[in-house]
Amino acid sequence: MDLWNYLGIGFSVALQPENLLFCFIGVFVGTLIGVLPGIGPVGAMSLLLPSTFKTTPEAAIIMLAGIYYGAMYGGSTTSILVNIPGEAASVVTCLDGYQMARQGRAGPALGMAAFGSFIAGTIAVLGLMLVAPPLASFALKFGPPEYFTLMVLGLTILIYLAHGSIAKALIMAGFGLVLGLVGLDTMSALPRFTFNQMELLDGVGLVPIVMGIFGVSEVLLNIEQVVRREILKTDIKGLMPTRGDWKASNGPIARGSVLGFLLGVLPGGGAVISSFVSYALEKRLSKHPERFGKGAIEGVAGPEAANNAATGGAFIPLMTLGIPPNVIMAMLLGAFMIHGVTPGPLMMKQHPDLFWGVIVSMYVGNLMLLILNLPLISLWVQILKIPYKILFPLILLFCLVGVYSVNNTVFDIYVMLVFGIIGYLMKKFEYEGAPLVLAFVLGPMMENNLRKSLIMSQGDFSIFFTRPLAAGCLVIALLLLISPMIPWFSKKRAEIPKEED
Amino acid sequence: MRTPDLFSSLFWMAISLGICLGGHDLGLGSLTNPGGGFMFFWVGVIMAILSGIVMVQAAWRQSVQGEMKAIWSGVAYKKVIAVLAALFIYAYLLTPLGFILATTLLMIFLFKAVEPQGWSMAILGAVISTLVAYGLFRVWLQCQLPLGLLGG
Amino acid sequence: MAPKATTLIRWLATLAFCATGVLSAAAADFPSKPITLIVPWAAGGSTDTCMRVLAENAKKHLGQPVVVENKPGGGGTVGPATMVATAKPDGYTLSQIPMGVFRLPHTIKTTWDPLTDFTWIIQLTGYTYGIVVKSDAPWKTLRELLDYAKANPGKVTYATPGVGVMQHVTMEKLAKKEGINWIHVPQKGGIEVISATMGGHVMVGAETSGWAPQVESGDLRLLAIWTETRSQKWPDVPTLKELGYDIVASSPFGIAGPKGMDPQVVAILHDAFKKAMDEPSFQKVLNDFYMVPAYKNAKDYADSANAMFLEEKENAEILGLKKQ
Repeated sequence: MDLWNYLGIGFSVALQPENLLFCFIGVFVGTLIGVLPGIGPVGAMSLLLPSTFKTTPEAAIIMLAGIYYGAMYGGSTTSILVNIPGEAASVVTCLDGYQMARQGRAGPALGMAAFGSFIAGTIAVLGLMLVAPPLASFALKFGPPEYFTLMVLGLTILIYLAHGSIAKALIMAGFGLVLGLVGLDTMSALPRFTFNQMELLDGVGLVPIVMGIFGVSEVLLNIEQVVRREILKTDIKGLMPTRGDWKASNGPIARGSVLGFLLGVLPGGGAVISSFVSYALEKRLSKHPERFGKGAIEGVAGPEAANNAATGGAFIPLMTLGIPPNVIMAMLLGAFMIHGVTPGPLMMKQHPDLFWGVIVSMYVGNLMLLILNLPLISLWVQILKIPYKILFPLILLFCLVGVYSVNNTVFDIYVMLVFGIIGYLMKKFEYEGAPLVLAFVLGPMMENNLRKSLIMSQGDFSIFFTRPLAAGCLVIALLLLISPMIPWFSKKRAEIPKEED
Repeated sequence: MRTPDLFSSLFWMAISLGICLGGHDLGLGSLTNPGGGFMFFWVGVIMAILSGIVMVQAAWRQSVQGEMKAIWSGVAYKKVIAVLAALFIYAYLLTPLGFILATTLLMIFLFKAVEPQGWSMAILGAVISTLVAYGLFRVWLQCQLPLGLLGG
Repeated sequence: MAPKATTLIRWLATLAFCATGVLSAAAADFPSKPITLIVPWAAGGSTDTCMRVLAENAKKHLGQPVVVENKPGGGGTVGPATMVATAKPDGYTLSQIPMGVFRLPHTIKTTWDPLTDFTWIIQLTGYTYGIVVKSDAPWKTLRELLDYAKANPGKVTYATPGVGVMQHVTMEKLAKKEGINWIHVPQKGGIEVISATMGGHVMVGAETSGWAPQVESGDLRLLAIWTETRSQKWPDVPTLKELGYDIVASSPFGIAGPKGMDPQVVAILHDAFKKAMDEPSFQKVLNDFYMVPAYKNAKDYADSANAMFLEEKENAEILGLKKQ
């Protein structure tokens, strides 16, 4: 079968009424939480995860993916209108977007963000379609040594890109790794760190941890202070960007798409980093860099394209290798597993409907978002006015029901609450949640593949250096690790923005 | 001295040492044939070293007066504690009371606690949100929520 | 004094009579409310689907719904353990019993004792396990593979979903019989066994029917299956038994309740589930998931449970996993 046949399968799945509906729910909810500050796509995905238990895996993943790229769209709206980024990837959009709104050009800013996102989303889906299949068949050749070194490289990049203290990020990654290893050891059949709790034999659940750190703790942080939101009172008229706007934005959108797609593939990269890098790139390439920060449309178009393209790129390592490159993909990995599907090299062969259905649905979803967003912007602005006193109890309720219904056990509620407290304190003491969750998912894979490699080589460490791919990963990881000691690099690294705001 | 970092690094130091001990008990194996505690032990060691680094950095840096206080000053941390306590009690009572009763009580509390509002509003909001959640999750999505008192 | 004592005795007798009356009435009325069937796996898997069909079928014969409650965790043991710890032996709370219930008590500290804590009701079905190699591997039969492994000690690697599972035990039993030394590479879950075998990272894979799609597509070659009889799906593939090994491995599972159930209630439940088993819809599910029927009545299931528990003890000893 060739690509066209696969696309045919994809469209026949994505266009089923049920899947169209779930795609719509996904992008709608995604846009909604993108608009609302406080809860991000990770929290929203874990909240909606239980609602997919009774659906087909296709519908479930289509919806959850929709939340992800939908949030990238929605985030720009609040950035532009309120100067509050709805989620982290839209932080840079505030810089020029809000300025444009103050100059009465909110319409073109919103319009260009939507078009830029659509174009980038489409390019990313095409890229995913072309890159994923060959990579998936190639990935079967990846043995335990390759997986292990790839994971080492992934964690290194993650830590390299983490903002602030490397030591703190590493502590978080270490803690996540240890948490991931809790449970019955596949190698010795012995329970590890389970404290005689049968519930812990299968390990700590991903959903309770994520809901605790990204859901409950966010609510706790928000209820302890009074936040005032002021919505800019401008008339949004003429969403269509002018010919001049298009001319200025063509380049940034194209560059942002490619950049976002490539960075999305990298572990720890994803939407946030790519939007910042795109902004920096456009500013450097611009003939009038002084216009940036004062309402330059390039500063909206580039980053918004980049953060959308990154969502497409991020699917590649998950769907072909089974390795999630960022927290959101880790969440999606959990969703796949709950539906009895293991993402990895075999997924394309064993579940072609799911694989292609999800990819094509992303294209359909992008189209929906474009149609949805242009007329509904005023609705989103209204939603911003929902008071917290109503919103937060509801978010907590959804967290509780959601986490309970994954395994039907109160134990998971306790786990979630404990991680809610940990997440709350982490924010207070300036620790990041992302390295913890990613290491939690990667840790067991890493340990397992290390031990498998050593069984295969009968204890010979040269297995990591004699296989070219494995050796290559280790060399890159090593270079990254020593680079902060070179002053030029550490200066560059300091420019990398923070993951969460 | 940066007090918050000092405290957090002490905390992580304790955690890492616990992980080291636990890992040691699980058996380290050898470098060429790692045992069940190998990864735990060495990750614990690395975490302990890193906590040490954070600690030294914290002790080195310029002190900002009253930093520890600043983390919690100007915020309603009592509200956070109250909400957390309510959530734990909810988890404890969920099975015996059943979903509907426990959730209604929790929601009344939350609506009152997050921002003060009238009893009637809080009760009405709690009942509606509980019933909507029940309808959504139990009836439509067929999640298995505890029935408790009301379900017999 | 005497009349008083008589009154007391009469009163006690009446009470006792009432109690027995209530008891037999309870058995006669059974079931008078919905029955909860704990399935210790996440919703949607093969075992869950199979149990749901069974529950739906049993509803007709019991006159009351059988509500499936998923309680995953602990490799399928949290569900039965919860039932043992909390449920009354009234027949209204039952659980599916996977192999782990018999295995874990030998390797770790557990809260249940398979010999005393359950009332066995019915054994239902087991899984189809098999040995696969990559389709371009030189071995066309199990014999060829075993000969190669014998001639090259410590060279053949095989994958299973983890240490101590049925796949691991059986491969080591084979090795012991043949005097082979081959290397076990435990994977995390069944999918990894398939991809490691397909990718050539191990030479042999031992797994439940997860390999079926790849065997169909010709990517993997099925050398032998471990069931009692040949599979209808692959009639050319021999069983271990045919090849001269006295090994049948199918990890059969069934339904049990907490200890101390009324034998009449057990009989009612058994009969209903037996009828539910015989319906075409259940047979079709078994076929779809390559499961094999392994019916045993309550008495035989109880004996077999004891036997399985002892066998798992031996297995744990063979593999050196026995807890201290």
